[in-house]
Amino acid sequence: MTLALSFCSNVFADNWTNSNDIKSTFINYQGNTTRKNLTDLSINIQTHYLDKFDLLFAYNHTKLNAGQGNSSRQNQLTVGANWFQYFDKIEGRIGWQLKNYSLTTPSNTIADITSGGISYLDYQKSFYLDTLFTQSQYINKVINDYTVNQANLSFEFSPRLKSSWLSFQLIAIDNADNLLFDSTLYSANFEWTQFLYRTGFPLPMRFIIGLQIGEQRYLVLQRLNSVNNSPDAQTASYWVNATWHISDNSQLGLSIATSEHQTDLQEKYNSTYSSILLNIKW
Amino acid sequence: MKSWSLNIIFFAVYLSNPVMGNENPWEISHKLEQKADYAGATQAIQGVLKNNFQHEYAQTRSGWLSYLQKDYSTSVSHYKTAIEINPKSLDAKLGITLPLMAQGRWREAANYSKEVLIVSPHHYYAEIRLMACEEALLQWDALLEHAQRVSRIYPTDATVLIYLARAASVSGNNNKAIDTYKDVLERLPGNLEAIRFLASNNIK
Repeated sequence: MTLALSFCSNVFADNWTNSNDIKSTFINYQGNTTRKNLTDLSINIQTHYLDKFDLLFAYNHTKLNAGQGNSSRQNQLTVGANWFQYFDKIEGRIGWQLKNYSLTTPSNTIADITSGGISYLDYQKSFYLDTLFTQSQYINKVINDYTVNQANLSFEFSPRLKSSWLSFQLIAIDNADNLLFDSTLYSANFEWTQFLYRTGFPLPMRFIIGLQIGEQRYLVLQRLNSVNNSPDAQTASYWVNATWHISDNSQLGLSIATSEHQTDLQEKYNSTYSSILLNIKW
Repeated sequence: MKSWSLNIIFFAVYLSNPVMGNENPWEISHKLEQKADYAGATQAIQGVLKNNFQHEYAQTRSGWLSYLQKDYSTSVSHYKTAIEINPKSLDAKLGITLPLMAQGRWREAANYSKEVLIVSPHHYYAEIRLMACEEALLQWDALLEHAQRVSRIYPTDATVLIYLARAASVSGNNNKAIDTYKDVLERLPGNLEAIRFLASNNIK
């Protein structure tokens, strides 16, 4: 009986696995009078049930330092789920994704964001396609509530199987009420991932270089659970990321990025981003 | 007279068709599998399953034949039924790992391999499939320890040594990887992976 219980407990433990991230981010703004820097601390808890579905719960706390002793705080709560189905006729896996992001300050609700989509990954893991739709409903007592719609189309493939990965993401952002901007904004993200297959230090297990072109506002990056609710436009961005395999159950990631921004008054400024992420699995 | 001769012809055709005749469906299924007619081999035993869904061997065999047809989801379904009928079946638990791995469902395949190893420690195919899962899940520490342990039990086997060499290489233990790939070439001369790795380390 004890043996049976122990066996069941092992199988149960193997059926459910957890992947948890603790991430600290610092953004420094240059040439902006209302933004000095931003700090963000996030905790992501992702639970996988075999290769069938994932559940996500994430919490971010952000503090924006506006200078001269002024600061504002924001909380983000993310809940989500992925569900996978396997289709032999198309030799791949279809994934269904649904996420909800709730942005609040200590006293108000800022936004309620819902994102959903569908993805395809072939069995060989050489080709990936997804399309995602996001609706962000911002609550604003000064001008009016407004809605931002976002559509993403990602095309990713492996030029050399298991060795590298190339990703293209096209993003269209539209302000349904035309309160923020009149025309639809288009942008694209390109990313190259190189897998080095190394454990420990100093060589990372993989590194990524990426760039963004085109204009982005109120961008939601589903994969990173990131919501940028700054009213300013991000017009370009360049980033690198390296991830180290500390052990089978832990990874360390470092990212740095530099971005160009523009306000509605056509004032330009830059930001530098740095983050450290610790991933722990059990 | 005309209808009598037609009946004779129909009867002759009936006898000449092994599926329609009284030939054993298992015999037909195995013959067709040998001819790589996996769809036909599956079809031949459908009658058995129709009459008795709980027929363990028919379920297990259908799982295998569906896998050969790359109908992986159906294969998983048959193997799961076989496991429900006989939870002790190592054949079905090993069998189900194949379609699961083909679909990239590494966690599930690893779990079934572990279930086999609990009952039958050091089972060769369970060990090899678990290693394949560990590699796919990037569990390099586990793979290194696992392949090291299994290589002592199956010291003549090149496949285990290839997994050991890969894990050693990823873990930064280049000397261990070089020695292990040399061992691979003793057992499997001409192995391209070993030759390439040694060449990249300037070793002929």
